[in-house]
Amino acid sequence: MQQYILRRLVQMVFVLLLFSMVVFAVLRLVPGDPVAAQLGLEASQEAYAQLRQEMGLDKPIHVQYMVWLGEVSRGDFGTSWRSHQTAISLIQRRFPATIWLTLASIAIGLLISIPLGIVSGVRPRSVLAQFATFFSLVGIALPSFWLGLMLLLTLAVTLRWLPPSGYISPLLDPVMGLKFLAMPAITLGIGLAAPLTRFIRSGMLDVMNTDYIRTARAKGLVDRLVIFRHALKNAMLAVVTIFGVLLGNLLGGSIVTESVFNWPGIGTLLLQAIQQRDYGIVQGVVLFISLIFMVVNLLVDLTYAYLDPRIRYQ
Amino acid sequence: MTKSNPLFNPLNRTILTRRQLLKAGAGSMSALTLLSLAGCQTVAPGAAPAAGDAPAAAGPSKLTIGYDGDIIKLDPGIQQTGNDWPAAALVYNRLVEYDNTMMDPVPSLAESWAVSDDGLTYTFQLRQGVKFHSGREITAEDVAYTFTRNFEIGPKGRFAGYMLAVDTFEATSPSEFVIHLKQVDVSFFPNLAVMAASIVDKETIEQVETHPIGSGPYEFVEWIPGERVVYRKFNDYWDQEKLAQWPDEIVTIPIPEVQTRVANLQSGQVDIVTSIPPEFFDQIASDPNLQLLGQEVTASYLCLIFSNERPPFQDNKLLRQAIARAIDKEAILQNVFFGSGETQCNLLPSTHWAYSELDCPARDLDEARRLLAESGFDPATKITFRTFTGQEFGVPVAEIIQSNLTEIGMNVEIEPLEWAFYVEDAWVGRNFEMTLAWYTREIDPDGLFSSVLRKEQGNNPMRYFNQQVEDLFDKGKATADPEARKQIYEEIMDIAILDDTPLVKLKTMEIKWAANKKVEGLTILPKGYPNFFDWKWVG
Repeated sequence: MQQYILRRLVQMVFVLLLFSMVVFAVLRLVPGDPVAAQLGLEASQEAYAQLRQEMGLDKPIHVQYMVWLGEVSRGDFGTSWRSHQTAISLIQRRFPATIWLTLASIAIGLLISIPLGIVSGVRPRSVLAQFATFFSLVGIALPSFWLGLMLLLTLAVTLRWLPPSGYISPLLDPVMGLKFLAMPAITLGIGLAAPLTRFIRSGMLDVMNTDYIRTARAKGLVDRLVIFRHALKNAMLAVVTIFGVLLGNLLGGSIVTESVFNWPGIGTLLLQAIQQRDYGIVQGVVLFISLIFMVVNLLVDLTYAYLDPRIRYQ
Repeated sequence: MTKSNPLFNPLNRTILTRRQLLKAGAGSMSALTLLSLAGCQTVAPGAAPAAGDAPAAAGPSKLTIGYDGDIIKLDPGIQQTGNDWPAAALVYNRLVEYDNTMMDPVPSLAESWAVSDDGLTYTFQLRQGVKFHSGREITAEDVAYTFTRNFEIGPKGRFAGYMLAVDTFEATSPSEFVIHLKQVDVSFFPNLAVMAASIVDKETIEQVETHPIGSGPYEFVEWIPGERVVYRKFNDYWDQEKLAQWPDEIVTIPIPEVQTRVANLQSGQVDIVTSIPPEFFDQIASDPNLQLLGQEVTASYLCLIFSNERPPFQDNKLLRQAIARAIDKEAILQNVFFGSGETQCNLLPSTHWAYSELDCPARDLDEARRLLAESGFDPATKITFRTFTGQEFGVPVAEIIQSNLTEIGMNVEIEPLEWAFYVEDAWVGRNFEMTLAWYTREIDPDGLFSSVLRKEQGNNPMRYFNQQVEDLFDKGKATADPEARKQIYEEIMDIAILDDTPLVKLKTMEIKWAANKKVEGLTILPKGYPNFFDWKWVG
């Protein structure tokens, strides 16, 4: 297994390198640059040319890339032209908020989807199964922007139960931390629960009709044991795949939800950096997000082996 | 990924055992948790308890302002946007500061001043004992250093553009600073209050972009990009009487979503919010705990501009006039801006001292069709209308204009551009046939539209030029009598707006903020900034 993980880690380095080239090129090929964001509307073309030269943007892309790669090799993943802060320091500052939001929304998503998915898979004609189908359809169809705004207007503006936006670590102030966390986590949690419910339901439906479940029942095992010890684990294989993708997305920042609730996570950091064409930060954050994605995918692949004894890695 | 089936290879030693997996999982989770713990000291915007939460312990008073975006730059020499204004206004002083009209500056670092009889020499007496936040006393040398630095920054900043009339300047004594002008310019003096004219500390200039040191009422504490900027009261500030009326701490936080911004104000998380769109006016006005902060006079207006460098509008005045006749400004005003603003064609707002009623062309589709036919333009030719998406109104306004022009038989295609691309390509690159332009300028009539209508100015991507207009602008700047100046600017409007039509003014743009009742007497200046030097905190 160690060899397998090592091989995957080496692959990651190459993928990151390739990805950095793509991001670097795309950023510079899309219209608009940091000079426009910095100088505004009234500057002359001469001023634009001068600043472009000062920022090294007049050099060919491959030269700029080599310069950047040299900086990366020295541990400098990029610096903001606005605040002169490094991408690493900004990510360090923002990532805890993203982790909290991810953990909370996963918790909400699983709390909703696992019971609903199991019941609707085991008892597909029950009222709860109908509700689960309805919920997952609505949950998938609801834009998170709309859901977030509705929660904001209801829970924060009308009822005044929760603060409309902001963040404080729940470790520092558990009560306020959870209050700030509630609305964005519910918004993301519902978005997460809807597809997961469908996947768990479909997985359970498949598994419940297999021979070994019939055998387990024929042995006289009670339903609870059949479902939780035998069926659920196999039904979760497909769920783990989609869960990995969703987890990667969450850890990479949820731009829409973070924007609605002004949540200081990775998503809004990236959005602001893109809007300002803050190349150093965009490159650093995108590399970080891709790294997270790859690590999560590796963990997901390793989880397969736990869930399915037939899968082993060499 | 390589997978093998251990059912057929039970002795494979490289398989992942459950124990190994659990170890790996536990390791990963620990790493995540540690990362999270490492950041647990982070207190981000909005960390103050919401209304109804546990009462805050008695501590320093704090004013929180929710801005629609983050600041761009801390260095006043290169600051560009209104969101940078608090950093300049609170941390620094200028020789003079804006009054609420922005026309009649009030003393600041300069306690008094005298203008020579020929209007060419301004002599400023500096206030004694004023200190930078570093503790060093300000002298006229610091003012001279700031001027020199800003002229060296040149076109990357705004200062040089405001100070075109300046010939020389000098510190004649530690407390006296003199400016000599090349020619009389009545619009020059209020420009000494712009944020680019903030007096910087040369001894700490290397940290001006990360931790600025000024002499203003608030010291800079920290800027966490995307989260907040914190300013703390400077106890040695020279105007102790005013300082006593202001809170101990001012925090600005970027809240780009307008609904979230307003919700924060309504729930008491922030005290002031910026950039309120018209659809929220009624909601805020009807809330007894809130107040809408507006302008008496606005220096902001929205236009449709035509390129005079490329067909079809180049040298085709009749085509431009046809479009001016076809546009339904009232529909734009009511449907996009909920009735907020004025649609008269004069670039000056009706509340401006130099405003005069012009014979503005009313909407007349028959006349528009006649002008279109007379212009020789083939209506079937497609015109590309580039607009911006950074502001919510950019596309809806373009759609109404497109619909209006279709009524007279024109074929218009809208091309929405993301803001950074719009600035780079359409504006600076002057790559457009017609586009929207939102101008926010100085309130002096010269400042309000000379850079828009004068030759090769930054706000004239149309490349409009008329020598008669140039001469009138020169005359206007050299004329002190307000009535005479008013006549001059009316003449400019007659020539440029009613006849040449390089642009069609669509409406004035009212800039409104909102605040709770802890804020008293805060005025939004014509340019859309708050006057941080004339207000009171009663929190």
